[in-house]
Amino acid sequence: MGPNYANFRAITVDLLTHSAIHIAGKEELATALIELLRDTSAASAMGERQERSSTSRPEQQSGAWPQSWSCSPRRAGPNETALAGFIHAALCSRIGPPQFEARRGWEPVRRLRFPVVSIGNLSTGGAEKRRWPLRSPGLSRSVACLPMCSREATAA
Amino acid sequence: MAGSTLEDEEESLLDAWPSILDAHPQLAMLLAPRHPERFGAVAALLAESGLPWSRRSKWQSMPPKPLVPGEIVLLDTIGELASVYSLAAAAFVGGSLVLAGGHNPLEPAQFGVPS
Repeated sequence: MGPNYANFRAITVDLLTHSAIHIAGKEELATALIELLRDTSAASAMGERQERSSTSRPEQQSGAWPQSWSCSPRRAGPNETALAGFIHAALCSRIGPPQFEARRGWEPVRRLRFPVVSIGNLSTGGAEKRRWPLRSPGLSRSVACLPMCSREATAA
Repeated sequence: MAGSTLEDEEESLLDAWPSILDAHPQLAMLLAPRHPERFGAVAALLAESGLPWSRRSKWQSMPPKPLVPGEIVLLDTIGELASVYSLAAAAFVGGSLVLAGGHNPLEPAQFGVPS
């Protein structure tokens, strides 16, 4: 991962503690990849550590909204901040209890019998590049004053 | 596997690619730009580079063939990136060499792919 990680802070810090390679600049890219590929057993061990890290703490993604908000280059005014706070609180109240139960092992893992469409990083893998997720940030921006806290908005 | 790349990052990857190939000549690279509207621009960049490359979207109209060492595949299809990470020996997660904040590092990590 490159030097400009601002999103997914908790996840990136955790991965870096599990030996993810932090590239300080593009001039280090080749050296870092050559070194990574040189020792395949060490690379595999690193990947396994990262896999354990990614699957052991799914609740880390629960903070994606405030993290995205805080790193958005389009700073919000007080009304938008209040609205974002309200939405965040509403999401936490809805998502928090099941996540707490899952962390405690009270909520059994269930495999659904039907496909689930998620927009945003509600689950690992994000929204994919389907037509609606791609269009929704632009459409939302065109009809509302709230800057979208999306990867597109962050990259803009 | 270089996923969710943004403008300028593909150029950095292509600059680094010959050095990486010198050390590991058996490699191939899958390059997946983050935004589909940039597929054409990245294809032009690849064409200018003089490196061997192909477009994933063209595979549907061609007989199957194995990847050639050194080949770069432009992943210009929708919805395949997350699963393609599982095939990688190593992954670079885009949006992080430029000031964009980085994309989801869990996508390769969930498959145990070092990043």
